[in-house]
Amino acid sequence: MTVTNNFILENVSGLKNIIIHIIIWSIFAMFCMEFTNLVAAEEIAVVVNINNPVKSLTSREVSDIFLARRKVFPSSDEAVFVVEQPQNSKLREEFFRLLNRMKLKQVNAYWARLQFSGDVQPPKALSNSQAVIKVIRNNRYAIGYIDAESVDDSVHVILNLKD
Amino acid sequence: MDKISKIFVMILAMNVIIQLGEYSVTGNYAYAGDEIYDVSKLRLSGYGTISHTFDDRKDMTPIRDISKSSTSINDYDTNSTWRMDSRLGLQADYQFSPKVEFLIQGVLKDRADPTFTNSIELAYIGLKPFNRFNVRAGRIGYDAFLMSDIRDTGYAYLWARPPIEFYNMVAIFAINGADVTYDIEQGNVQWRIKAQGGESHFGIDMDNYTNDFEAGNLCTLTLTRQSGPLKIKAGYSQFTSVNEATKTLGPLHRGLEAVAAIADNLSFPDIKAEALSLRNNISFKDNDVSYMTLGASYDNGTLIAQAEIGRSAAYGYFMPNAEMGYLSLGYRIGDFTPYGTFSSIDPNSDVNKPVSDWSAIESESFHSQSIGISNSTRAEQYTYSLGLRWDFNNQAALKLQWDNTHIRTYGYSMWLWEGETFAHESKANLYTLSMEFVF
Repeated sequence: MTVTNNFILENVSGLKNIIIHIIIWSIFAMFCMEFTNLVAAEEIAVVVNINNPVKSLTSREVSDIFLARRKVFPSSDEAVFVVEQPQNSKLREEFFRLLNRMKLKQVNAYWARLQFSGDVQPPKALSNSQAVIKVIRNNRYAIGYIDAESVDDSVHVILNLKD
Repeated sequence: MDKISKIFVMILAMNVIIQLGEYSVTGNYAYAGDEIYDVSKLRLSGYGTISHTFDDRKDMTPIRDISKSSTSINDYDTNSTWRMDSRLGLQADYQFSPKVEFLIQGVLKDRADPTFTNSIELAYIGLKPFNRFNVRAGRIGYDAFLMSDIRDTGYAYLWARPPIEFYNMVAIFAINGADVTYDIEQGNVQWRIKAQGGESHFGIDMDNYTNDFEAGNLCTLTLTRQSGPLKIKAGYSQFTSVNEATKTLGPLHRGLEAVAAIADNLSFPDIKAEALSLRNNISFKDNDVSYMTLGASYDNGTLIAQAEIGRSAAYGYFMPNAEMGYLSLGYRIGDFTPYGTFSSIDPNSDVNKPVSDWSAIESESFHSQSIGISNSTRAEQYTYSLGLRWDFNNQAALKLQWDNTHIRTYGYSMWLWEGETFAHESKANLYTLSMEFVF
């Protein structure tokens, strides 16, 4: 009986150590992930067509547009035409982090709700910043975001995002 | 040509007119260049859940919602199942132009009547004739509650499943009909008014028979207010249950009518009145059902809260007639979100009890059986849930959930049970491990 008890106690103690190690390493891993995100910051420009009468937007307004809560430009009756970057790109991850602190996983879950209820389909994702500029240049009410280094005279920067 | 076909033809005609207008009047298509145009038209996507559920009861088994098949879960001794929450959804949407789209979504999951037609949960033409206006016609999602049109996409919400106390009786997933949405912006607040109309069909398994449930004259009206992370939604919905569950209830109805006739002949007015009351109250046919709900959700990136209260009203014992609600809180810590939920349902009717003595016509056993059936669809229970969601990937999450449910006497309609289980108060534990993904 005593042997059995010792066996159980040893194993319970071993299990406890394993759980403690898992918790410590998980917390460490989470800190590492957070730190990685912090050092990877970029400057991102939210851009619109140069002929768009709207010349500036707040972070909240841009956030509402990119989460499909706002369908028209503020103080205007024109429908926004949103263009996106690739779904799991670093640029998109940084954009939402700087814009409204949402992680890509949250953004994807948020859009899954809109997409699969049939409410709103996600904006079309273009391959890179050059493709975004090209579409915005040709559409008066398009809005997108690009890395700040790609900005040229053919688009208007409506909001700058940086740490 | 039935009504639905007529609506389709009208919508297709409107589609052609609007598309012609796009090209000939403005000539200014919203997409730029052939490259963009090509990638913009068709999108294929989907979602899925692989889920295993364990319960600790040998005499009963849980029902996620009443459109589920009972043949797959009525093996009470089996305490685990893949069928309760597992499903796969595939979606295709085709954007004819910025103002016209077609969307179709099929969902493979356990259901009482698993036909191809029933598996198509969305198939509609969507039009945006004006800014802020959106019209959809065809098969559309039932949008009366915070979660009613997104219950299948587990990746989109925190829990293993929407609280059973609230959503078990809401078996309508899709409507054949149309809806209109109007969006209003007011500073940083967005309002949405949405109206839906149509009808819905699905199967309900009862006592080894699948009965066709038809919700006719269905209409819903919702008002939603979104302000940043806070969303508040109020809804009203009503429909008429058109069909009788004849396969299951036919013999009972005939028996009760016979008892009423015998009691009438033998001059037992109390027995006759009770038999006719049971006959009329144990019925689906021509029953008007209404739902009123108020819900709110909040997600600021760290704190997630959601609550909903609702009231369903209907005539008789067999249709939802209760008050239900839940409150859920979650807290994101990196990719992990622990959460807790309390959910409850209280019926608006008391337990049905015998009011006359049927021994006078030697039908005590049938009497007690009929009373038992009248109480079999009452739901009176509450659940405490604890869970953890782990977003291990940008498009996939693991969930672990424990539900502890307290079920009141004669309040077991959210379970399948055997014997006299439903005549006693009891507790049950449910453990769920699931993986959710989108693609």
